[in-house]
Amino acid sequence: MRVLGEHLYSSPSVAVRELVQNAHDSIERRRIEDPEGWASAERCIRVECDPERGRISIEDSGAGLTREEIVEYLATVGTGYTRRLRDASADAGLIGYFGLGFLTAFVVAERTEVWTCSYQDAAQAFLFHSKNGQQYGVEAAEARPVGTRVTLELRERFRELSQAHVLGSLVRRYCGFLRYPVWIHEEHVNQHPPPWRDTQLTNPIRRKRALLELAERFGIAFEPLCAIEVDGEACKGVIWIHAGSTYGTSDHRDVHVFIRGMLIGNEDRELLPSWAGFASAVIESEGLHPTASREALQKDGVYEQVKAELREALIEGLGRIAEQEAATWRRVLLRHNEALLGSALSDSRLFDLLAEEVTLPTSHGDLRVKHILEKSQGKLHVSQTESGGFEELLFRALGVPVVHGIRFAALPFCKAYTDRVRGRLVLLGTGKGDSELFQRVELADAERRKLEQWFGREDVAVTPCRFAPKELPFVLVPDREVQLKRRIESDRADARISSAVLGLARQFTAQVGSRPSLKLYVNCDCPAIERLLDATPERAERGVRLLAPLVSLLSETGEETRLFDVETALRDFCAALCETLEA
Amino acid sequence: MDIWRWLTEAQRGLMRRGHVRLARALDELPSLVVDEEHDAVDALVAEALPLARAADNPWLEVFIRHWELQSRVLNRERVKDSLPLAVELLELSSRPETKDCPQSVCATQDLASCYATLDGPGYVSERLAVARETLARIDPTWPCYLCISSELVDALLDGGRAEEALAEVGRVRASLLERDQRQTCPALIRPRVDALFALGRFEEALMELEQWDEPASGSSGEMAIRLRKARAHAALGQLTEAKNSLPDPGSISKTPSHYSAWIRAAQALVKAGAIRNDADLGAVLRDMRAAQEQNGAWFLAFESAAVGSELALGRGARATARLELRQAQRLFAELRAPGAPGVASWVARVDAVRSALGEPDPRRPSVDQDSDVEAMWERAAAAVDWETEALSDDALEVVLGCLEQMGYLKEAEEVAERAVNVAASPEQALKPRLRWAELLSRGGDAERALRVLAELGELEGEEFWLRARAEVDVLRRLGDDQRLRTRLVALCERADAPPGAVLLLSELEQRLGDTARALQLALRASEALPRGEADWKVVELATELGAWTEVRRAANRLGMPVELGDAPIEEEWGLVQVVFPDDPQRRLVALRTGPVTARVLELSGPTADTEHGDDP
Repeated sequence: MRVLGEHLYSSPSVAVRELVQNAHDSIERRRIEDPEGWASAERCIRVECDPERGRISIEDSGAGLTREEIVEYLATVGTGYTRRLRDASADAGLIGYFGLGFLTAFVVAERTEVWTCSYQDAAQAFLFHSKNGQQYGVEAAEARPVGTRVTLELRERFRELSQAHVLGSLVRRYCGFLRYPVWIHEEHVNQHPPPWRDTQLTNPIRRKRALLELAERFGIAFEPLCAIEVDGEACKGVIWIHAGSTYGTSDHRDVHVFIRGMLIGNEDRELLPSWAGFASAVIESEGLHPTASREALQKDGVYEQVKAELREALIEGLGRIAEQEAATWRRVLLRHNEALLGSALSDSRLFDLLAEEVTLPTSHGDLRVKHILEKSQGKLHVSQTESGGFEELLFRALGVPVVHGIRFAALPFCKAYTDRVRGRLVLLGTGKGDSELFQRVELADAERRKLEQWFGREDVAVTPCRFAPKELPFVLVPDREVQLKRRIESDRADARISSAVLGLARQFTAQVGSRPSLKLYVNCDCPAIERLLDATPERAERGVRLLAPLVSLLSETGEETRLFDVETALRDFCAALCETLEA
Repeated sequence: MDIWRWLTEAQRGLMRRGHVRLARALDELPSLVVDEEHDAVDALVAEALPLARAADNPWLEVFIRHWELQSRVLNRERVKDSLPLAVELLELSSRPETKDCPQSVCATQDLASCYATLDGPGYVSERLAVARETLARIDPTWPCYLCISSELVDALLDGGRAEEALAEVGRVRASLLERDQRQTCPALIRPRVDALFALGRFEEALMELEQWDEPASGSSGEMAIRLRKARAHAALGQLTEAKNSLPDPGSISKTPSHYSAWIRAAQALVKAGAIRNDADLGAVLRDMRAAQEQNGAWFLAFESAAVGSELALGRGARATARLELRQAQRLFAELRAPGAPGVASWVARVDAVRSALGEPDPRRPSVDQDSDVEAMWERAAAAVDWETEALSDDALEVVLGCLEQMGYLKEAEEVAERAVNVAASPEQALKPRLRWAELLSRGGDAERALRVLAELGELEGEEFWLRARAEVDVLRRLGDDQRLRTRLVALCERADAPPGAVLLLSELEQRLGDTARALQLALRASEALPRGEADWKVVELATELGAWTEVRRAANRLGMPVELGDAPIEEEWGLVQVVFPDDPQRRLVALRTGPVTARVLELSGPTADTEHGDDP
């Protein structure tokens, strides 16, 4: 039995919870079977400890057990009376399910004693005792009031449980919401019911404060910033937003689940939406079903309903905070901006709520979308690389903020925003993005040929365009499609890639036309280019010799290597400058 | 090599070197993919890729990009824009520095999946060759053995070779047993069920589905099984179970890879009488088909159009069935191998619908409004021959309205274009042309919309402004502020420019930062508009520029107790809360000093508390 118990429960401290729960169910049983006796009894649970002797005891004024019941329920695994009673009376507030709870006593105790007197025969009391959970004995005992007292003489390694502060914190944690009074020595641990059960708590401000206090009690690892009440059909409780900051996918969810007043565990984080890494919850549910170990939940229909209710409460609650509590909302946004960016993508209502509130990381710092759009004429420029490239140069000159698309959720958020709200997405480093930046210009053939002759070279396509800033004469951009085509269609690919799949890849690259792998956008708005086109051939030649080397110098693309040899470019530039000065 | 073991070791190494974020991302990515958290996948990948590059570990890049493609292609079927990424990944994963990465093998599967989604039956032989070639390189101990085998079975099924597919599943299971690669449940349940479906063996299929127990495949695997259960139950006449198994279409809307199974299950349920074949169902199918087409999943979209036409015919919506047939025909033209065995049975089904529709339906008199768009369409299509006839203005509006609402944008454009071409005079062509441009603009083809409008040529009076308004609408929808500005400036230079256009340009200039110009325009608009309509704009802009004369005049028009003159306004109009546009949650208490001015009194409220981390 001890082995079974150890396997079933993760922590020996659960024994305290199980025994208090048995005590609770025993009082409940008496309510059903012996209402008069129940009404006149004290109806409470008393937990006591004796650290000197390493003992704890749990006493109730419940139904008690007859000799037959002792044999049937305490000494046989998995045949708890509670289940039978539960099947018989649907409305009972019983917690136990499996008849396994008492097993935990044998895990932690060297010697277990059960002093009990049943309401069915109040004149006769019994003592059940067992050492190590191997053998047991039942004998008549001196008379006692109806009810049960379980005494555990703890094993050496569990003696800590008999320390008042250890036992106290366990009972407060697990049994703080039980409906029958629980006492540890002189302390009434569940004097105040949880706010959702407290009929006195009608004042909204006091209610809010009570919810926050409860969140503070359970949010030991992640303190609450604000609390949201959950008032669903399948569960009641409180969700709180963490006061500590999160980033992106940081997942600090935890959900304390109480079933009929007893804490089952806090491992069921999945009950909160996956995007809510910044929130925790304490909930109570009548309908959730624990697994046999009673430390996890069965994933049934009620589980799904609770999940849906928590999601709903959180979304609505965030909306309410945004609307009614400006200062709190500001704190929520400041601390969880990235996580909220991600969550906005997961739910359209959250998106509507957050779209104008969250900030995006940009080259000008963290900015709201509205701000970015104002500064960039209705466009959202998003970079997809760490830094560098012509874009950096271009946008620095233009004073336009560029969203760092490589930061968590920034790019998908921009996509969603431009799809659903307004503005245009310009994805830098893509062909489409380039065509947004560089407005093509139709030049006369002669002028186009001049530009090609001046700035073109092998594997470079010269495209006349207009773009800001005017001071920038040209921008050199790699054509990634063509570069990929060349790699896939090279002989080296034949050696590296299996033939069948290479065939498929080449079906794709066959559709990419053969063209140079670099694109040089020449800025026809640049005064230097304008003058060059108008100049006499001699003057133009001199100017081009000065300007052309700049192509190489401005060709850094953010990749590891520059596209052309910089040293040669500098040498050519110096030579041209000297010539000009001498002329 | 075991991918997961490698990954665990890689993560440990990353943690030790301080790349905590990346290590976590690698941990989360596969679960997010199999749980269909597509948005979270996108959010995470954009961040994880540069981190992997910064950590200088190309194996990790292969891993991240493979899982991204799993989400984009296998779940979302976004094959059109994913094909280049799959080719890139193949190239990346074949380089000397990455070819030994255990995830590299999967790059071949990613590319094959792209083609399977693009046009499954069209690429059967290539897909079989790729799968066989890859299987020859690995053995059943590799985790990717099952994925590649699954792709092989799917290719056989797309080729109409269900018996062979079934035998292949048997062979794979035997080879797993031989290598003692035990699974929690039999391998390849989903492909085997699809093969059994193809052979009409529904009872066996259901038995197979009942064995499914693979939590590792996440909610995506769960949904795939559930949809097939719905179909099997329906085929076996188990109506309640079938109905319970078919999810609400909204619950799969983000994952197009479930559409095909949902459509087939829904059709089976309709056939069994478990659900109604109504216009709502038709609308769901149309949305799914449109998404498949948008994604570039040509064959799947063709299939959906075929089912859509069958169902529409089944519920007596003959004109709607014809529209779906048109879609099927258009999509059929995109197929790579129209004569492939996997396509043949679908062609036969489409032909059956076509011959059932037979001759055009007898004409019925009226083109009426109806609350149900499909019913309205059926009536309209019975009243006029929208494909060939010159339509009256009213009929044109109803036909275009229906087609647009039902998502048949191409047909709507066609109708509008024909109306323009058959119009007896340029005057009569004006309205259809404006409508045509609007449709093009809504469909995303702004440039063509502008060309269509430009063909109206020079117009006078009211017609000039109809064209102008249409152009402005196109540019606004396009979001191109510069072109919009150029157009509006030209319009506002005219003396007869309507004040609405002037005000629009004023707002644009303000947004683009030219406040002085914005004020001039707002003043011009306010003169022509009724009191109050542009005055607030004037007050706002003039205050910003310190043009107090204008502020005072406009405030006066708004009925505020302000005297005329040019002095700044410094009144005491009571306490207000100041909200900042760039930090809307920050509220400060201030004294209102004028129409739109206030002086901040306190930086925080008297009772407000301040916490660590409150200021950015």
